[in-house]
Amino acid sequence: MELIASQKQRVWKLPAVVNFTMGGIGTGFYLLALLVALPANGEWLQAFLAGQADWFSIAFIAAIFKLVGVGCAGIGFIALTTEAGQPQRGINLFRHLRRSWMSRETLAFFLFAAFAGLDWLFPFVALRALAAAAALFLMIAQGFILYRARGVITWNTPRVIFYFVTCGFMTGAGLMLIVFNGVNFFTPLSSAFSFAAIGFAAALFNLALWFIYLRSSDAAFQKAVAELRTQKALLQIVGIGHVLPALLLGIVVIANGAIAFSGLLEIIAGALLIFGGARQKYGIVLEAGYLRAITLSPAKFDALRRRARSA
Amino acid sequence: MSRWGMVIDLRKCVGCQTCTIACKQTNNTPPQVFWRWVADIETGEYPDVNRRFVPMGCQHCSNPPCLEVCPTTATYKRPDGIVDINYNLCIGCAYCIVACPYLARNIVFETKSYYETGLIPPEETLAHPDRIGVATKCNFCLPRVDEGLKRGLKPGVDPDATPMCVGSCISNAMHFGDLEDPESIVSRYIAENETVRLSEELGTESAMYYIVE
Repeated sequence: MELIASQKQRVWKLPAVVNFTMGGIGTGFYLLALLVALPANGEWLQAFLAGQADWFSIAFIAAIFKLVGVGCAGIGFIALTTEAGQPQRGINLFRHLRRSWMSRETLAFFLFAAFAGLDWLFPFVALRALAAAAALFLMIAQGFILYRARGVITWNTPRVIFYFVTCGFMTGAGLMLIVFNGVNFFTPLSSAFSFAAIGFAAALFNLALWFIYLRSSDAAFQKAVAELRTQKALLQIVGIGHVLPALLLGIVVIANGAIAFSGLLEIIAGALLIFGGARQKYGIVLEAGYLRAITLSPAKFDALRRRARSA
Repeated sequence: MSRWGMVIDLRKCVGCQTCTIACKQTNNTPPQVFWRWVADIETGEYPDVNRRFVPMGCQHCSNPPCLEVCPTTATYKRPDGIVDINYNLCIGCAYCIVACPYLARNIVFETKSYYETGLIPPEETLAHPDRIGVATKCNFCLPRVDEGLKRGLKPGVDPDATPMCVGSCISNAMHFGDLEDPESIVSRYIAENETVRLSEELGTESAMYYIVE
């Protein structure tokens, strides 16, 4: 028997959306940036000490690909301070690493920032690996934060963790398409893989995960995600946020350099991928964030009632 | 060790909200914040319709969803089962609020008055600045229970050592006591009646038992 109907949570607002969105963008971007071949391997300090004239350019480009991801995730954390009641006690966030995914998320962010920062200063493959591991853990931790919120029906599903990972890579690829093409305009860059192909694949993976996320045999879950199934939401999330950028990137991949303005197409597609991911997270947190109905176990209740009547 | 819990006999509850007000008065909770409240629920379909009153609040779960998510350990469970909040540690992230499946937790960001004119002197005296920007909830009137135990009183039996909602209930629908003690009033009620707990399917193992029929 349902005592109290499901209702929308009202305590996590836009700052939470910003945190989850920027966290995904930042970590996804950093992980993909590992594929970029940086000028002089990013060793700007050596170039500076050797008196090379281009040391600043090396340092600047390395900073873009090694620190922008940290900056994005940092913006998310800063956004959260506007929502917390006592943000000045933030140091307490590290107190429950044993069980709380929010503690783990915070630790992952600081490790990510520390290792990425050190790797920028003193490029070293072990530091990069540690930063990448922390970034991946941060991406996963954000999914677990929602998953462990047992009060919210649409968050408390393991599907949300997988969704967060694919969305992180998709939006990270979106930022990478913008940044890579933007930097490439001034300084020719190369990468181990085509970011257009990665963005295309990430969009399709994330779209598949999105439809899997929305599917559930639970009627309460279905009701909670109803706003995400409206025509307007589908147009924004699926049409503008996934299908359109996937089409643009598909054209770029198939043309394989034959189109003169492929860089511009990639930048537009990148922006659309970011929009798609941000719109999804807005939907999950604010539109579908329904608290569970409070129930008295139906079977037990009916049995008790029948017993009372027969007595 | 004791395990404090409640039994609420829904057959007796008349929905008078005396427990709600007693709680507000005892714990000086601000406007819009209810640590104890009574849900007014209509069940069944015409002509077989029932109106039911269900006192709600923190269920002091054995497996509290709020505790495991709290990043600061501000939410903690005492050995006697009472789930409480250390306001000095809480950062007000509200994670516990979205984790709690019982709508038991609140957060307010500023001191509010019940009056349009602003805080009146009694409200200023009874204001709790330590509860601003942090999560709050029912703590089974923990100060009364602890103080009563110090004085050798028995919670659930002696009114001075019993949560105010229980002590104020006009229909004797609410009972408090030690779930581990087979002779306690709550254990006896559980033994003698069919009881249910809220949202049992979530496995929270709440310490609030309800007698429905």
